[in-house]
Amino acid sequence: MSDIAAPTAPETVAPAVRRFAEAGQWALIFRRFRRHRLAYASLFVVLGIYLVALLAEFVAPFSPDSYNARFTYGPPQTLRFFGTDAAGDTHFMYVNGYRMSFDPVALKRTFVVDEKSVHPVVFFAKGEPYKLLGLIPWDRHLIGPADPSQPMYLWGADRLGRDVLSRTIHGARISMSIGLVGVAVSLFLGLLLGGISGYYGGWIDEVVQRCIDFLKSIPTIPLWMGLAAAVPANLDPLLVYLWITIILSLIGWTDLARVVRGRFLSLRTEDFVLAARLDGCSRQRVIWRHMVPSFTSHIVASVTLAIPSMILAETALSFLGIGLKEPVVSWGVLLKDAQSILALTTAPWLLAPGVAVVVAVLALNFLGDGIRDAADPYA
Amino acid sequence: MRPIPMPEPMPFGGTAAAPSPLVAVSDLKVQIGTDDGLVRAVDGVTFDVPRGRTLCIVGESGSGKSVTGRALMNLLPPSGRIAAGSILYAGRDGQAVDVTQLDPRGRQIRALRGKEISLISQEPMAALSPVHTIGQQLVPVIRRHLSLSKKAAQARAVEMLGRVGIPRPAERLNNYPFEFSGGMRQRVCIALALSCRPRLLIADEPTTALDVTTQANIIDLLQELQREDGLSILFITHDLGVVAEIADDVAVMYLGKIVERGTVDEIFADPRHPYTRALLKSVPRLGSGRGSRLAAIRGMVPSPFERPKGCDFHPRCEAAIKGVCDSIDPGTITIGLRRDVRCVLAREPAVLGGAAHG
Amino acid sequence: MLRYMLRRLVYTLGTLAAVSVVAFLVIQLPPGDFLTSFSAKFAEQGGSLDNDSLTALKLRYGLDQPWYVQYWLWISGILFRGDFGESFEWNKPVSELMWDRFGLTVLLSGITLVVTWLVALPIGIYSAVRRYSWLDYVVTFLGFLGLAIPSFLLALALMYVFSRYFGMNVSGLFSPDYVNAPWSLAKVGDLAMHLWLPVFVLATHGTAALIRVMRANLIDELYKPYVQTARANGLGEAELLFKYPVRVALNPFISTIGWVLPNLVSGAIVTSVVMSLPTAGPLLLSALLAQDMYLAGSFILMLSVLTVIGTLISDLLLAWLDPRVRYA
Repeated sequence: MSDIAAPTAPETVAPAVRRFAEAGQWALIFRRFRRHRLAYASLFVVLGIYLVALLAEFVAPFSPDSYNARFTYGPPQTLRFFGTDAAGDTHFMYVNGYRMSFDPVALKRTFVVDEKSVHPVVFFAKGEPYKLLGLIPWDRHLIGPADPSQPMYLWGADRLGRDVLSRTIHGARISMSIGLVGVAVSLFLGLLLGGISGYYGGWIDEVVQRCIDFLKSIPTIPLWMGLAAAVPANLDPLLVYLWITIILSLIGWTDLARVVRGRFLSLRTEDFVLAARLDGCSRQRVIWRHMVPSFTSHIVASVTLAIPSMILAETALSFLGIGLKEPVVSWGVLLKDAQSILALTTAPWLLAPGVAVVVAVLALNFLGDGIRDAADPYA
Repeated sequence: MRPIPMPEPMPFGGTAAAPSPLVAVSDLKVQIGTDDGLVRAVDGVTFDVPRGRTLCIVGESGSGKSVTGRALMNLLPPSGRIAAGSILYAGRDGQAVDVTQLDPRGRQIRALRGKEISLISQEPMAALSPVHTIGQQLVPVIRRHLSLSKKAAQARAVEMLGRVGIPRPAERLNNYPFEFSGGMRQRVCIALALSCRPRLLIADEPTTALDVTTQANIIDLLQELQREDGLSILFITHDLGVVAEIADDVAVMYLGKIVERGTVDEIFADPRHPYTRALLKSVPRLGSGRGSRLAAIRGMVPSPFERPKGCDFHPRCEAAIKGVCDSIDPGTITIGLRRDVRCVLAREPAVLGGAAHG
Repeated sequence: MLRYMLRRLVYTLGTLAAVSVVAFLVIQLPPGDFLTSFSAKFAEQGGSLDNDSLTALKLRYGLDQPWYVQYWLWISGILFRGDFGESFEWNKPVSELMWDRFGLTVLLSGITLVVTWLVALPIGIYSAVRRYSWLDYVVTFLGFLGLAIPSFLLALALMYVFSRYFGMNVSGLFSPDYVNAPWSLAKVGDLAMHLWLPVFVLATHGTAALIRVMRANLIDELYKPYVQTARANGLGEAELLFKYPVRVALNPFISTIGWVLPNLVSGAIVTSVVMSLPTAGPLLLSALLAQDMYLAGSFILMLSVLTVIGTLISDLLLAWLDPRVRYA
């Protein structure tokens, strides 16, 4: 009801009143949304992941590139509580150190957890200096070893002795943002083409629809692979990032365009749009003031559901080695290290970034589903 | 199943010797579970469906009239159940079956459905499967209930389509529902419902979705079929115009209760319940004069979760008596043969003044 | 029906033409022209190309001509002579390299599609009919999980589990004895033994998606008036369910092939790389990395053709099943 009231509010209505009417729609959606407990919880998970991505330097114990060759493929250490070290001091949190032994048969180094060595772990540990949000210089980390020279590999170490946990946290920045940027580009294309298609109809609609059909009938991965392979290898990592996002959006816009077109088509015949047109509103105005506000909630839902597929696509491409590459840190790049069965059997924790992918995608899917149900209980 | 003897015929005859009713419903209660709690959709209704006649159940949406109709076939939504009461259906062998006692998915009730009691529903557009031809939907039902061969069943289907006025019925058997217009589709539904010669037809707002001319055609068709087959019809509607045309008897429902019951003449000429009067007043009629305004019933149908104390209708009633109607449930007051009213003022038509036609 | 089929066929032909242009563009995209890379590659291997063979190649691919001539030379070679061009990485005609692997891709995708359907259909029906039962919740949750796990991650995890706990190497499609053996019954049996894990990995995503589609479709249908009509005519619940709502809900389910198949082919590529299956995936990847463009383009073309034809089949199937489509 109010979603019709909001766009038809005449211009003379005071802005405050209009704001109230629009707030009414969103408040209603939010109320319905909160009833989906899983979706509501997912909202906080998603916000949490983005917050971590934003404050990666602070949250991660180490920088993604700091390495320690002594601890190549060091297994994950368990965070323990209340332990006494050799000096007899009790610590709230600690990890056990490693003891290395050399397996003469397999010619391999193996790590054994040394119950006796206790390395205290503290919150707001002093560590490598960084700039928070790229602005504020700081050297504290949310969690870290009290003695920065001591290892702390809560999720294990990779081939070069880098901390998988820290790298996963930093990887969130690229992986989660590529979803956002890609969806933004898709949204622009989808709104534009879907809107044109739905608003004008006729042969324009036919052409756009055929394009969408065509793009959807091509298997995406080979196409992406072909396009991604064309990205020059020596390009600046930032440009590669942009390229990959644009390539992903080239396919991603089709779904959004479908949603927008569908809404436009059904709205075109609604009374309030007709009324606005009869009132002599310009075409632009009819679209932006009257039609778009009434399907924003659907767009929000579709966008939320499009982000995870972008994340999955980036992960797959980078994993294959034709998306982002080292030294960029993304979840797909990290998972590339786990590609060989050999690496996997020595260090199964290299799959940990995959857990991050699954959690992020799962949360975004739940969230999007919840929003969609809340936006339109009949859809 | 234990056979239940039919109740004795009513002691006072109507015009001729009063035949025993085809269906006797007494104190039927249906509950439906919703997200917000249990709704008493039908709250103790008692009525008979006489043989070969038409009973109209009239009410606003949400009055429980459709649920009552479906309860007669024990065909409630999954969240609904019959909580109390009995529905005695007089079988062809003279034995009565209590429909409420049958397993709603069991063999016995299924043998009744479509064979003895049929249903046509509100939306002819959606009441037939979109991906099966008319024949594919008609023939199996006929074969199931009449134990006919495929060929005989097909012949019967063609005959039925012809009877409901579908031109070139043999060809149309192979058409899909979307190839028929709305009115034609409702005719197909009627053919489907009557194909096994049921004795009771439950028509749940069969004309609501149709335009006025088609509406009249369908009603004529139903009356014609009723005359030919001696069919009893339970006609559910909110349209008093339709009631005047088709009904022999009328039951007016409000919030799950029957508030007034009588013959169509009694209801229209001498409505006793304020709700019935209000309904009648809200119907526009020819010759009522330009100056007269169409009356609307004030207020809204209360939420089933917040039933008013006392008489359900008192908050909207123009004749409500303070201290009486808001505290005492009037109960059913019988004022004649098959004529009862649920109002404390039932016996005093004069007090209320202003007849419906006024 | 005939008109509908003809129209679909024309659309398909148009799509195929467009697909071939895209594949050709992919061939053309990498910087530098094919001939330079070719002779560079040749030089790297210690040989050198004489001018004659260079001119011959130039003529064959029309390299000094505008792109549409090049495209025509390429596509007509494929259409009329089955000549997909030359792979300079392998120094062999593309067609020699491609068909075996392409065949296995078709086999893998086809089997996975069938498995996806066989699993998703009954579970989807059950989930819809027994909505909000504990099994429905389990299925729904597993469905979400299946959608969230990238297939390559699932493949990696399974490979790890099998090698760590069962000491099995589950990569590849054949045992070492059979890799180069000619086709025989024993080799087919060996293939079947290796196929189930990739099929499982690939089917997870599609099954999860299709269960949700089937469940939602069927829930929409279950409460439609025509189901009531059937019930009011005395049909039993099971009989009614399969005759009417399931039958109607099947139609949108079938039309999902249009997007399940492209996804499947995509997933098969990544999974094949991880599990080193001798399908199109690994060869396509290596061709792309080495910029062996005729090989890569041919794969992209053929994989797209595969999905376009698959979609056509699903459209025709749908028209056969759904009169509304047929008569529209």
